[in-house]
Amino acid sequence: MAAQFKDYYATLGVSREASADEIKKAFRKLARQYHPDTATDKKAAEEKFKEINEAYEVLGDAEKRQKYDRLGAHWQDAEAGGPPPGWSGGTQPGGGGHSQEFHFGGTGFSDFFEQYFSGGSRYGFPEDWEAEGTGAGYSTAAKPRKGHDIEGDILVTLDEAMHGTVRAISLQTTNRQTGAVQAEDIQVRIPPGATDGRRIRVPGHGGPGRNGGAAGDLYLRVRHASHPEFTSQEADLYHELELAPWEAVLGAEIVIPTLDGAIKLRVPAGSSQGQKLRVRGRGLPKGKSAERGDLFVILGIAVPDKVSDAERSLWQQLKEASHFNPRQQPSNS
Amino acid sequence: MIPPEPSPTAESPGNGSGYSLEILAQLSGVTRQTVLLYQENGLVQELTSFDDDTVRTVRRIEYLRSTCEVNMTGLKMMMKLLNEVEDLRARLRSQR
Repeated sequence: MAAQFKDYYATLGVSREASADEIKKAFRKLARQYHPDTATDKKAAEEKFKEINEAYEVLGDAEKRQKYDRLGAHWQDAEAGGPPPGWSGGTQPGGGGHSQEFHFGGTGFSDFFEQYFSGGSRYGFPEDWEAEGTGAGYSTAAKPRKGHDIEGDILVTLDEAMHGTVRAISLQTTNRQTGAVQAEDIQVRIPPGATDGRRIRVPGHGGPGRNGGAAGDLYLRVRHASHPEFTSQEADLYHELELAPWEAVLGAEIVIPTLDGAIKLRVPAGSSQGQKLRVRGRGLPKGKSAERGDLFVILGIAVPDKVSDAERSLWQQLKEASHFNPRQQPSNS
Repeated sequence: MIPPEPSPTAESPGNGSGYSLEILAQLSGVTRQTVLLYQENGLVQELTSFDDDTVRTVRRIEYLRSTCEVNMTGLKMMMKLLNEVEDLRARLRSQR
């Protein structure tokens, strides 16, 4: 039972020929619009927000986008029962593919994503396919073998990553040979400070063991959902702050958001575009102690595109009064 | 009948407590000596407390070693490459 195809281009409202930059802009705009903190209709926004994040997970990654485009072109063939194109890089042992199908619920990602774009499906490790009697290790049948591990992704908001949470995941396993279906509900604990890419191990929910061996494990990869104000890198957070030219030149006190409430940030006089201001201890929790990562504020200088006559005259005066030339090499005078 | 996970403290460490070397070995299905060997060869970090990522890493190494019959030189090369790929991917992600 193949997963239902998802039209990620339609989700982001971009054409199939859109550039990476266009896709990024479309995503940020939509993510801001549908984020649970900023959306007006929160219930409807929740589903849409997940879809937008998933679409960008694929279209925002050059490799995944390429795979997705190839997949889309051959989707008809796949549904007719042929091997899904682009599956595990194309090289498959023996009969190829899983002996089991896994369907996740509650991870924030669709089956379609988990089957084709999840991090686990790479390099031919047993997460990917089962040796099914091939390979030296499996020739001695009687020995109990632990089942293979499976890997999936779980969408976690920065708020959840900040405070930790317990998520209810449902996992449905279908044995392709017997047709037997097994469904179970699992409670997954996301610890505080769970960074993007971190794996959460859920013991015993992987592939079944052989000859009395224990079942393998489930690994869920934490994926931070986009946030209108922050991006994350390990335990640090990044926030883009736009300044008016005079704020950058004269310095200013600006109120900025953090994950635990707004703070006043002092922007020093003579700040330039791209400069990073570090706010210590306002990132995600780190490890055992009460230690936290930092919040980096990246400064941008915005210029008014329309000015009144009075303003224009003032700018003109400033131009005449100033000796500042950003293109000139510094002299010794 | 599949026996249950044979460990008293197999819960995912997140409240600051990691797995001990003994528990890591048990969860990965290898001996304590094997983990120490991996540490000596730089395949596993020289720590006293380990997380879920390490369990997965040791399982993968064990798969390469026992089923694919990769020798230590090969293991070192592969793990180095896999780690590098993972780092690069993480870097790309953070620039999205």
